[in-house]
Amino acid sequence: MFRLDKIFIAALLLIAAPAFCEERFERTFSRTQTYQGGRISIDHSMGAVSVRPGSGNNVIVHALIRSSDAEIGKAITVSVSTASASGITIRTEYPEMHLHFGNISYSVDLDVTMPANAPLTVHDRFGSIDVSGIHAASEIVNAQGSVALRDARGTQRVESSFGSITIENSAGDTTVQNANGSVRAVNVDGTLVITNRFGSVNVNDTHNVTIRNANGSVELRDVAGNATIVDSFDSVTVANVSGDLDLNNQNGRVDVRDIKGRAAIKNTFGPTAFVNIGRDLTVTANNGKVEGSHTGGGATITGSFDEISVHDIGGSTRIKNANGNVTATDIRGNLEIDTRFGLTRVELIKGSLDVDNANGGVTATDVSGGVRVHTSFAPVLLKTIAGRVTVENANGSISVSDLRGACADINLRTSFASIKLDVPHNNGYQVDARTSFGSITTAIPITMTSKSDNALSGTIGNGACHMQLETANGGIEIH
Amino acid sequence: MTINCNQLDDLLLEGDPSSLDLAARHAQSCAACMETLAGWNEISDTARGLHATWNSDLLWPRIERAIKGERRSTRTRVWQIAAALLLLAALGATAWIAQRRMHAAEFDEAILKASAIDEVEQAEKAHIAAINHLETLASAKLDQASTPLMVSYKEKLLMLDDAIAECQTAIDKNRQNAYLRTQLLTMYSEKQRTLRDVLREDSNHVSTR
Repeated sequence: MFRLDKIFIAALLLIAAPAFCEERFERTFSRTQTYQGGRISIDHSMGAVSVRPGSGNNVIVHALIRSSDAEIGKAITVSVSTASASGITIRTEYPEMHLHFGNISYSVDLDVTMPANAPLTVHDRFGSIDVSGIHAASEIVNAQGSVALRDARGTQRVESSFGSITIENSAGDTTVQNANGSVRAVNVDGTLVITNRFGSVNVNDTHNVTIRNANGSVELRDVAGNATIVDSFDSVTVANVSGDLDLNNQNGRVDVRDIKGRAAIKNTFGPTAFVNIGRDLTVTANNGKVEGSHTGGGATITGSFDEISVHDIGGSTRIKNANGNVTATDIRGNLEIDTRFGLTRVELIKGSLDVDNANGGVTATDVSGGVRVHTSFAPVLLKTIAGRVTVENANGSISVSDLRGACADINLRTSFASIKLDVPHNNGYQVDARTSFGSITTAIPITMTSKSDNALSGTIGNGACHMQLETANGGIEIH
Repeated sequence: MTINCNQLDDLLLEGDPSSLDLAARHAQSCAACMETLAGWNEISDTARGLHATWNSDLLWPRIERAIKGERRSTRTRVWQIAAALLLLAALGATAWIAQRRMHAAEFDEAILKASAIDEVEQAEKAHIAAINHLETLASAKLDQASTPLMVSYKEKLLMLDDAIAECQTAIDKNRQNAYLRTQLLTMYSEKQRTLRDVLREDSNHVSTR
């Protein structure tokens, strides 16, 4: 019997040993008040706050108080004000702990159940906030802690500084502000405004949205209405916006697709890509590549120091670049290109073409309108053109072939390079060709009015259109 | 004791000597009851005459075995009940200990144990050493921050320093609070990541991420 007693006591000591090693003080607090109107205000710190809607008209406060010291644990108070028409205030208060040299620790987790239609204010420091099912305006502010707001109605304002923010299913206008934490918003029916500084922003399925971020990526999908985004130093991805898009980024990749309205994109020092823009597109991109296809309207694209490549544009297009190649294909409208130091290649233009280049070659194929090209120090190759052709080059060759459609004037001028022209069989021209140091050769019959080694005047066919070919120090070939 | 005729049957059914004696005394003064009593006695005599006995060598050992078996099974049942009670007690104790440990673990997740604090503080020291090293390397770039990106990194680092100081002040009064410690480690990691980003950036060029 004595032996059994000893074993039993030893077992008890073994079980209780950890309790003797370090104190674990824990107590709960509960208070219920009948809601009489006004705002529910929660002022908390050092612990999590959870707010849920209740079925009745009561405000029920549960707190779990933990401390490594019973004396301190007992001194921690959760005060709940008496209910009045102005609302109920719930506050956590901690005793001063200067005498304990910081070796005492504590935390309080707060669970509040409240009527769903009561306005709510929650302030917390050093703890997470989790609010769901609130159907009135609320303000949720956290410092150094995450915030989650779910299934809310009414105007919502959510703020944090060092913690993630999650918004799910908010039926009212929602404003979110963060500093150094991610923001994620899903299914916001009201207007959504997000401001962040050094964290990512991820938004899905929302209405009109404005996002201002810096040093953090932005990902936005499925917007009913318009979207406005300002960001820098990170990537921006936008997909499926039913309205217009205004996007301003710096130093980051921009990827935009499926915008039903117009899109205005500004970007610097990062590539810009777009696909499927419903209406007009404006892109201003400095020091970054621009690449994209499919717009319902026209496009105005301004770039510098990098390549611009566009395809399948539904209206008039203006491209301005510097020090970068330009490629434009399948443009259903007039095309204007202004570039420097880069190759210009265009194809399948359902309108006129106007290229102003310098120190860069120009290749154009299948243009249904007139063509005007100005460049220097690089060749110009034009093929399958259906309108008037005017080329002003310097120190670069000119080659024009497969001219189609009704007779149109041809005016080709260069220097220190050759000119080659394939004349259509059924059109007539008044020919005026001259060169300074080169020969003029022709493989088609021309009724000469004057001819020398360096100049030729005459008529091809009925001479209905003008053909002026002029170079210096280069040959002229007419086929 | 005086009885009436209605009570006669009950007395006869009782069958003990005093009941039968009482019934006989009543019958002497009541003819109908005397007749009933006579009939009862006749049936009793007939039944007594029908009684037969015989010797069986097997009956008693069987009864004895049955009684012993019953005693054994009773003892087994007692043991079974005791074992079940013991098992129940053991299970209850195990559940109680498990619940208590789970509770303690939940507590320890909120308020760190002293041994865990030592580990956390060692990790913090490692972070601080790494940050100091990175700050030394990055200081030249940050001091001459000329690009918007560098200015932005500088701003972020200042913001992180403020937040770290705020967290540290809270830790001074609440040393074992797990949330504060986690938050501080997160910010140290963030600061290291930012400093590494600063070092990766070529200060003469702007980022093209």
